[in-house]
Amino acid sequence: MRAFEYAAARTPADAFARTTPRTAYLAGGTTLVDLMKLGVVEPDAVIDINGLGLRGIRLDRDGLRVGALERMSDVAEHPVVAAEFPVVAQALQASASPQIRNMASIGGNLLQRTRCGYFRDVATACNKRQPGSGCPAQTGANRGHAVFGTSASCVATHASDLAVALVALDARVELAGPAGRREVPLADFYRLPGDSPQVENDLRPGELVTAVAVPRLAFARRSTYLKVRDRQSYEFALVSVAAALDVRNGTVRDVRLAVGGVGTRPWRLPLAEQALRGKRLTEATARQAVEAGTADARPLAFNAFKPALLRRTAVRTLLALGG
Amino acid sequence: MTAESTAQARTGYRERQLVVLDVNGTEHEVLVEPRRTLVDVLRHDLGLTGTHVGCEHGICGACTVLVDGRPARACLMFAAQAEGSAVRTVESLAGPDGELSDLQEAFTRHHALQCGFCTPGFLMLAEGHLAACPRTDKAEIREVVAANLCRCTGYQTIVEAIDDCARQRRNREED
Amino acid sequence: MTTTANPTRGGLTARALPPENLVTAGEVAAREGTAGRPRAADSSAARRAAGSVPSAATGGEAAHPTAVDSGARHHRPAGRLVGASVRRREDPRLLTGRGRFVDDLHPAGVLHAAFVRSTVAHAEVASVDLADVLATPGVVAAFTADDLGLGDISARLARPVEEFVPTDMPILARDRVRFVGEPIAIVIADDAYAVEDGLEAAKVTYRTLPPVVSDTAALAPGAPLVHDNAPANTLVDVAMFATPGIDEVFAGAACVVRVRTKTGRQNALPLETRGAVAEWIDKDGQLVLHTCTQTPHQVRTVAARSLGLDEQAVRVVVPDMGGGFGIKCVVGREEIAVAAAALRLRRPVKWIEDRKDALTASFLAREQRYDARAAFDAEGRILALDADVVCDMGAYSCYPFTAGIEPLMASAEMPSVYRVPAYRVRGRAVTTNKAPTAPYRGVSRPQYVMVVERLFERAARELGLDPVEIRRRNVITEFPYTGVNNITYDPGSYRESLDLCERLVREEGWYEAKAAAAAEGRHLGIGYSCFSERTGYGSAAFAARKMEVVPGFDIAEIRMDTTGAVTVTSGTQNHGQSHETTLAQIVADRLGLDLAKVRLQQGDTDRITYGWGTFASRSVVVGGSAVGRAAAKLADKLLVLGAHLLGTEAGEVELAPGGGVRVRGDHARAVPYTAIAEIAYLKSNLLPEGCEPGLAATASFDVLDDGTFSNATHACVVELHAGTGRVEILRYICVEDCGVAVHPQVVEGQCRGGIAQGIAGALFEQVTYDDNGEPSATSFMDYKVPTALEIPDVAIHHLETPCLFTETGAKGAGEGGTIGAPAAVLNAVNDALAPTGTELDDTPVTPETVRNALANGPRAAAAPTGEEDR
Repeated sequence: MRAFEYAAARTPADAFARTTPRTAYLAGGTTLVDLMKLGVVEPDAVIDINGLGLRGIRLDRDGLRVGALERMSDVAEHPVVAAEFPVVAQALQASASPQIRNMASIGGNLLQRTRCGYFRDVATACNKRQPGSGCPAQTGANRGHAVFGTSASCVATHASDLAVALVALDARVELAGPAGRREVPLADFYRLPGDSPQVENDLRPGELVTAVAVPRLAFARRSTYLKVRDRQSYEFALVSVAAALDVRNGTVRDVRLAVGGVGTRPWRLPLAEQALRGKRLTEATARQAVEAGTADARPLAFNAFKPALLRRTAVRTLLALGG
Repeated sequence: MTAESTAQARTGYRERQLVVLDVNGTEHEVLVEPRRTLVDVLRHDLGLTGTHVGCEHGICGACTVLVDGRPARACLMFAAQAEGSAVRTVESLAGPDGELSDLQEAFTRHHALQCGFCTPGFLMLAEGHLAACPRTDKAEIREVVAANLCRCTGYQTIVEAIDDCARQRRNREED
Repeated sequence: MTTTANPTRGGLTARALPPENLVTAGEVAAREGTAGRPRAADSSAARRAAGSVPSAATGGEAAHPTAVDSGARHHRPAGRLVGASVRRREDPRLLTGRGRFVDDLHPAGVLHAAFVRSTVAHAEVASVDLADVLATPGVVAAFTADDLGLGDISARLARPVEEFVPTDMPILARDRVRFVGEPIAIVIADDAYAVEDGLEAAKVTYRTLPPVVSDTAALAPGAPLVHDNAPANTLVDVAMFATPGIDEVFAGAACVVRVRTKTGRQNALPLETRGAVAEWIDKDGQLVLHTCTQTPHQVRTVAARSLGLDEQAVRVVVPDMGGGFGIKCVVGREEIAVAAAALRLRRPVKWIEDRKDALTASFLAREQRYDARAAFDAEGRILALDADVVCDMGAYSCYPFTAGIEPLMASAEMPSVYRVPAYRVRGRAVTTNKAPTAPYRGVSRPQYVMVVERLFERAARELGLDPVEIRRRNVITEFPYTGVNNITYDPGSYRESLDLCERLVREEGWYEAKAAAAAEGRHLGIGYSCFSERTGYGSAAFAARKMEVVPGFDIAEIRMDTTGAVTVTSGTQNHGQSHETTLAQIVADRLGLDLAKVRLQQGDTDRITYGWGTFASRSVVVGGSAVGRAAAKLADKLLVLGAHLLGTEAGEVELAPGGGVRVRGDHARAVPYTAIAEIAYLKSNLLPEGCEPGLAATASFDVLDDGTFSNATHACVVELHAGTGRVEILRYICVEDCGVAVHPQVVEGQCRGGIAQGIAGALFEQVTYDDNGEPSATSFMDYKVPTALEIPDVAIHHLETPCLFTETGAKGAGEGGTIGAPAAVLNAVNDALAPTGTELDDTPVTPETVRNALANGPRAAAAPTGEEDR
């Protein structure tokens, strides 16, 4: 790991004052320390932001607001979250391992980097790590890679389970930076790789995620997160499904559906949602809707299984919620 | 092609910082590079070598310690991040005379360790879990145990040992 | 016994000392063979088994195995330690963080080493520029091969060049690199972070050569050569046995089945990576090399040769070890380079392998390809076995076993537990541009057992026979049995373990469960594997492999001090197997001592003449017998001195429980060991004439015949999930027989841990390489070690067919679990897939292959499972 300077910021202004293009913010550190050890990220200075507060888990009439420095386990185990937004609690519980969840912050989770093996191996090319160097995953080991939102430059998946759940719930991220505060829908916060996969999100220089806001959604009580993976622990999703369902007398009034492990960013399935609204929930309608919503999947050499696996998993998730 | 370097003379120029750590109830001051991880400070600066390193990337769990009572991976933390927190390592479990704790006793009774390399990580993982969830059950313990890797035991006896310890603690509480 | 009760030759007397008996003078040399008799067992498992094992089935008086369960084994006669699951003596320090592993050693002024490694799979090294490395703050030195001038690691077979091509592994690559990760230079710095800085500054230029990345590519005509002196990239090519007329047998057989399989490359993966701390000690004139090795004396030999020192100038010391599983029973080039650096710098140097290097640049194993056929008659009796085995051994031969380790094991032992009348095999080791191969728990047996067990299942299907029944018709039941492979199998419970295991599966209702699941469109399968495991290979067995250095024997030394306590030194090397407990149990029983009075030490080449370390399930067989013999020799002297003190003859006395000598039939006349030790050391003027002072003895043990075979039957029940392709193990049952279990709990631990590794190989773990020879698995994220949620609980049932020639009746138990599991898992998967018509023979079985098999089969329309994979 390359040497760096360490400073703990006492206030946001203090943090902003210290940032340069060669600094990194440190919260839980579970992604940053890992990537620094690999040489993927090599900041000159690390700014520890754990002293900035940015805590709190609150539910009010607008919805849920979680400070960005809350730890994953605190949010997952919070009774309000578990009761009102089970999909969020479940997505967190399905992530990483208890030790990591105790350490990692919510903001850091949303900003975690892809687990693409080429991205993590500095001996290989990677457009995300080294723009213009190439993307060996296009034809190489791409079993875990994306089928939605890919480009000729990058096919890496977004790794966060939490983000999938939050995108399904129309969550927004609150940001603060040298130029002030703003709020962005999480779905828009993440960028498609296009020809600049090194730009993964909408963060401006020096900006921090300060909180996540989830709008009130009554039927989110009937929500769930299903994750398929090779190992049951410490494993990223092959495919995952976040769903919330409002169903009365067998008819779908409203539905939210987002999927993970398959997209270059958390992938909402609006066409599937649209196809289901007003329909009776049956295996056939669920399947039709999911197929419609995932028709644009573009598998690679070694992940051709993903669309079918995703569809089955999504159908199962919907039927389980509806039952 | 090479020669021995004269760089020795230059050691000490590297930027170091003072870090104050509370480990097992004792305060330690160490002067370390910012990049030094908590596990390296515990092992090599404080001589607490019970905490092990198995993968350096937060997956195997051999480096698990308690930070403010909660299991954390000491290989994924800079030592500086632990300032202001109470760190507990495997060295804190036994009594002052070396008497094994009930959890350690359960591990030996159930043959929950063979080579013993992963064991401190499992002990601290279990210690944190049992403190947080005294009413835990075997299925939950198995999920928790799945956070760490063991190559010797096949895990069954680790799960059984923790479950046994949890039951005994509950029984003692009820007495 | 039906035939000889003496399976050993050449001066070693077969004997089975009932462990409850203390040794009396003269008894050591001649015990009548009472082994192989049923053991009393008071357990429900025993009662169940008794009904299922008709005595006629075992053949005359030959070893009747008896089922015991661990509960019964805990109730050995009072005072006897062998057979009791005493508290492990290793545990207190390991549980309190006071173990001492190699990375826990921190000598004053220690420097840290790391290696500049090849980033390409195959190339000539054009230049190595370390100038910037040396300019890196904290870096103390950096050396290339030219700087150190070390001798290569040379492993040899005593075979003609048509069968074995000798190749050498340099400590640091000189002009050629042959795999990604191969060490090119060693960098030494004043801390572990600075040395990483130094590595980044190294500049190596290559003239790349086309890499050879698979066995098929290696053997293809015109393939690039990994070693210029190895045509067709073949390091070992042996054709063995070739029973005359075997082709006619195949031509005329009622049923011929074939299995072609490829098994994945695996990493043995001890949680502790490799590592070493080397230090020159002026006072002793010695280089002390602390290294986590399973074979300290072999490391000493290679280190001394490579460094150009006498062996007395090298001391190899082994600290606590965090597992090995075979990867640490070969000599690593890095530990030699670290020794050389310490010698050169006259400062302690430490190297701790990081996980990435452990996964990519250490030693791997298991990548094999089989094309095997078996011929059966219409009743399901096997007539012939014919196999072509190709093992992808990577870039170099390992010391001392060579690249022959895998193909020779497979070729020699493939007939397994069956009466195979005709056999032919060709075994090859090919070299490729991948990390080299070392032995890994089971060595080839997980693979060939899987192949043979698949052949039997396939034949059963073709012949319409029950898969257990076809095995029953073929397993060896009369012992000793000399097979077509010229190996003599000592008594085992092959048939009995099979019967009991099947019965347990039936009693638990798994056949009904399978039928019920099928009716619901779910996919349950039941699979078995029946196998044996040669343990305690002696020098004869290794000589038969034609190794140039021949492992086999072991030595034990024992000393009693003035307090009557003993220190035992064994040439075996614990790395998780509990030797400090089990070997001490054997000695304590022999001498009537409390366990606390016996201390075992290992892992120091200065403390014992020689040792072969621990591998191939040899420790309790060979090492355990050696410590037993040493204790018996000491007992002889104690009896002589005790008799002297008691004023009688040695023939009139015996050892007394608790540590003393007493007169037979007059137990009141006794002297404690402390009184004997007093004259041996502190009042030697009182010794009888001609008696040397001191209480010490050395003994060795070798197995001069074919060794002893543990055996087991495993059963596995799986459910395949159509939705995800996940293979869920619902039940795992193991019926094992390792003879007398010295410590039943430890035996069970070995079974469970072994099975977990076997399951890992069957379903999860694999290192693949891309076309450039880049390894895929560089962290635990890519190399999928299963967790507690993947590995099931294992029900273990014991049978006990005591070994006829070990001190305790014990056979080895280290590898069996790993050997049996892949076959059981794969057979279960294929049983579940049977309705689809697809068969899967390659490992690891991946979710994709299972999903595809289920999707493409006739049952594809079955309802998706209700599995919740959250």
